[in-house]
Amino acid sequence: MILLFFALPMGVGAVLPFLPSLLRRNLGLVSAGVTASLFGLALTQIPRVSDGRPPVFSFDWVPSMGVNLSFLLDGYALFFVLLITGIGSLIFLYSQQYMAHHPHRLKFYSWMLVFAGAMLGLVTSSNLIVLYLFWEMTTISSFFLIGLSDREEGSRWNAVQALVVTTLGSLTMLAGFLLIYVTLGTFELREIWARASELQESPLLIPTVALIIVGAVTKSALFPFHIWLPSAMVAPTPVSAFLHSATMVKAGVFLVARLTPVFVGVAQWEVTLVILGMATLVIGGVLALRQHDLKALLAYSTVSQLGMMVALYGLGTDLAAQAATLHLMSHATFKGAMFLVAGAIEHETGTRDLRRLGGLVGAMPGLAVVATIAALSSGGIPPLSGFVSKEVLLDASLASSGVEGWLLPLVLVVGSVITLTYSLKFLLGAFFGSPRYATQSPQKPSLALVLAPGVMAVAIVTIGVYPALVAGDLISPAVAAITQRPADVSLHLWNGFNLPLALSVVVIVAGIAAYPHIGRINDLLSPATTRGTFVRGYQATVDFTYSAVPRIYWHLQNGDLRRYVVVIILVVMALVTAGLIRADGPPFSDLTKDVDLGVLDYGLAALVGLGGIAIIFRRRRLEAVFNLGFVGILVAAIFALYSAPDLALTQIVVELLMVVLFMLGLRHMLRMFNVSAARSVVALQLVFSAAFGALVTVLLLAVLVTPQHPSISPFFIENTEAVAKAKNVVNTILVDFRGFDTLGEITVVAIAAVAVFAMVRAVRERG
Amino acid sequence: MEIPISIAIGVLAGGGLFLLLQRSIIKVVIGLLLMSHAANLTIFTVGRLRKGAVPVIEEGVQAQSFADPLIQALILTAIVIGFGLAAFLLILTFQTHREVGSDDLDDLRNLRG
Repeated sequence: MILLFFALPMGVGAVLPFLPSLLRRNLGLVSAGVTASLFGLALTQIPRVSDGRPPVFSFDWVPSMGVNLSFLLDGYALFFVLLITGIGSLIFLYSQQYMAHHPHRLKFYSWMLVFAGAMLGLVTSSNLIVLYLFWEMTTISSFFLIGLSDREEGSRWNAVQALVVTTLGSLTMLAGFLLIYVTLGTFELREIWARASELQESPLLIPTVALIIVGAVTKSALFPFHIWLPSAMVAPTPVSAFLHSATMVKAGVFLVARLTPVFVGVAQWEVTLVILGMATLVIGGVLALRQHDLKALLAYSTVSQLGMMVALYGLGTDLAAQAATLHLMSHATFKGAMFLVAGAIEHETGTRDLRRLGGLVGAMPGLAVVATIAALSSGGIPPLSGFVSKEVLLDASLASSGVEGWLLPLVLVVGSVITLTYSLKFLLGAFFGSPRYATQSPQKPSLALVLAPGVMAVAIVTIGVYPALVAGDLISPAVAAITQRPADVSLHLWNGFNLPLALSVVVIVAGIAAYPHIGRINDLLSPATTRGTFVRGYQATVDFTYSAVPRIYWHLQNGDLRRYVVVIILVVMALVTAGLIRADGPPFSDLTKDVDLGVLDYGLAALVGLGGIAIIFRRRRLEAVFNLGFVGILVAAIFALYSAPDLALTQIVVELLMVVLFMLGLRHMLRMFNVSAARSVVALQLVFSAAFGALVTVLLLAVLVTPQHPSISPFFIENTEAVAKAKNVVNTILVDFRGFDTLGEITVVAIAAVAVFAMVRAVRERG
Repeated sequence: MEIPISIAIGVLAGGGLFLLLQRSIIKVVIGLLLMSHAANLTIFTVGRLRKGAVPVIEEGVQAQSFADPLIQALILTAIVIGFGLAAFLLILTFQTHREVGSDDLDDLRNLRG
C-alpha cells in the first residue's frame, strides 16, 4: 500500500503521452485525480497511525550492502504525504487552467507527476539509500521543470545552477550517510534511531553531522546556498508553488527532523542549524523586502521561512518540533496560495512587477480576498493559522535556555516583523492603492485560478480558528514520530495573556509601522545584501572549474606517451616507498636462511641481468631483437630450473615466434632506430630507470619475507587425479578447472593471429 | 634462494623502463616485452622457487612438495596473452611506420588533430 504513494504518480506520469485525447486535453484534472485519490488513501490511514501502528513495508534489495526497499508511514511521513497530495491536487487543478496553452504542457505534467511520486517516496522511505535515491529524483525533476522552456538561455542557466548547487549538497549528504553506515553498519532509519547513542560516541560524529547538514542546507536553500531558489523562479508558477515553496525545498527540513532523534543533544548539530537557520531567516527576509517581482519576493520569503523551520528542528525540543511542524503546514498553505495568486495576477495582467501593479481589488475582488487571507496569515495576524503557528514558535524559542533563551526570541521577533512588512508589500502593492495596470487591462481570472488558492485560504482560516482540528490527529503523531517520544499537542487560537501574545502584538505594531518606510529600510541595508555578490560567487566558481579542468587535463593528457609513463612510474614508486616505510623495514635478514644456491642459480640470474643491461646499449635493430630473444630463452631456462617445464616450453615457442615476427616487420623498417638525445637526458633516464629497478628488487624481497597466504592450490592438486583423471596439474588447471578462461585467451590469440596474417599478406602484396 | 633472481628482475624492469622512455617505437616495444618478462618472473618468484618439484602427479610423490601449480597456470596464461598483445603491437608499429614513414614518437605525436 505504501508503495502506491510513489508508484502511482510516477506510473501515470510515464504513460501521459499515450492517453486518449479526451484525457490528454484535461491533464490537470487527471493529475489532480491521482494526487487527490492518494490524499484520500492517506486520510484513511490516520487512525492507524495515531494508534501507533504505522504501516511498514520492507523488501531486501541489496541486503549485503544494507540497502533495502523499506518504507514507513509514521506520523511525520503521513503529515508530509497529506501536505504533498493535498497541495498537489490544488496546484494540478490550477494548472488545468493556467497551463492550458503552454507549449510544453505534456512535459510539465509528466515531470510534475514524477516529482510528486519522488517526493512521496522520499518522505515514506525509511532506508537512507532509498531516501537518497528519491532525493535525487526530486532534484532531477526539479531540473527539468525549471528548464521547461529549454530553448531559452536563461531558463537553462538557472536550471543548471539549481542542479549544481543541490547535487553538490546531495552528494555530500550521501557521504554523510555512508559514514553512518561505517559506524553502525545499517542504513535503516529505525535501527539508526534505536542505536543513536553509538553514533554519538563515534569519532566520526562530527564529519557525519557536517556532511549531512550540507545536504539539508543546500536542498532547503539556506544561507549561503540560497541563490538557487530565486533563480528557480523562471519555472511556471505551479512549479514554483509546488516544488519551490510547498514541498521539495522542505526536503532539507524533513531530513533535519528525521535525524532529530539521532543527533539531539549534539552541540555541533544544534548550534550549526540554529545559527544557519536564524541567519537565513533575517537575510532572506531583508532580501524579500527589496524585491519588486512578486515571485522573487515570495522566493526570498520562502528562503527566510525555511531557515526558521530548520533552526527550530535543530533545537530538537518537543515544543520546537511541534512549532516547526505546525508552521511547516501553515507555510505550505499560505505560501502556496500567495504563489498561485501571483500566478493569477501575471496570467491576467501580463506582469508580476509590483511597480507596474496596484489597485487590482476592483478588477479581481475574489482573488483579493484570497490574497488578503494568505498574506495576513504569512504576517502572523489572528485569527489565521499563521498566527497560531507563530505563537507556538515564540513559545518554543522562549523555552530554550542559555544564550538561546533571549537571542532566539529576539531574532524571531525581528524576522517576524520583516515577514509582516514584506507580506504587506505583496498585498497592498498589488491589490490596493491607486489602480495601475500593466500594458494590458486586467481580465477577470477564471474560476479555477481563484478556486485553488481559495481552498487554501479556507484551510488557513479553519485551522486558525479551530486549530484543535489538526492538533490531535495530525500534529501529535507527527511530533511523536520526530522526537520518538509520545506527544500530546493541544493548540488554541487564544492562549490567554502571556509573553508570546505580547511579542505578537509588538510584531504586528512594528510591522505595520515599518511598512511605509520600506524604501528607506532597503536603502539602509542595500550594500550588505545584494544578490549579485552570491551569484557572482557561484559564477566565479563555475568559471574557474570550466577553465581549470581543461588546463589540468591537457597538461596531464598531452599525448606524450613517455610523460604518461614517467607519471605512472613516479606514482607507483611513491606508493611503494611509502608502503615500505610504513612496514618499518621488513626482516630482510630472513632471506639468508635456507640458502641452497648453486652455480646454475647464480649463473642464470647473472646472464638475465647482463641481457637486460646490454639490450639498452644496442644501436642496431637486429642485435636488439636477438638480445631480446636471448633474454627470453634465459627466462625459459629459469622456469625449467625451478620446476616449471610447461612454462619453459611455452616461453621458448613464444620467443622464437617473436623473433620471426620482428624479422618480418623490420625488413621494411630501415630508418630512425636511433634518435639522438642530449647526454643529460639520457643520464637522467638511466638514473630514473636504475632507481625503479632497485625499488622493484627491494619490493620483491620485502614480499618474499612476508608470510605467505595459504594457497588454494591443494584443491587443484587433490582433484587433478580424483576428478579430472589427469596427471599434469598445471595443464589440468588451464584446460579443465579454468577452461572458460583459457577459451577467452584462445579467442584473444586468434584475433591477434588474424591481424598478423593480414600484415603478412599486405607485406607480400606490396613486395 | 630468491635473491639472485630478484636482482635480475630488478635489472629487467629498469632496462625495460629505460627503453620505454626512448623516442623510437621499436625500442618502446622491446621495453614493453622486457617489462612483461620481469612481471612474469615476479609472479613466479613470489610463489617461491623450488627445484625438482614439478607439479605432475606420480606414484609415491608427496603432493605437499609440489611447486605451486596455480601460479604456473596463471603465468602460462600471461605468457600467451602477452604474446598475442605483443604481436598485435608489432603489427600496429609496422603499419604506422609504413603510413607515416617514421618511428619517432615525437613525429607521431605531432600528427594529432
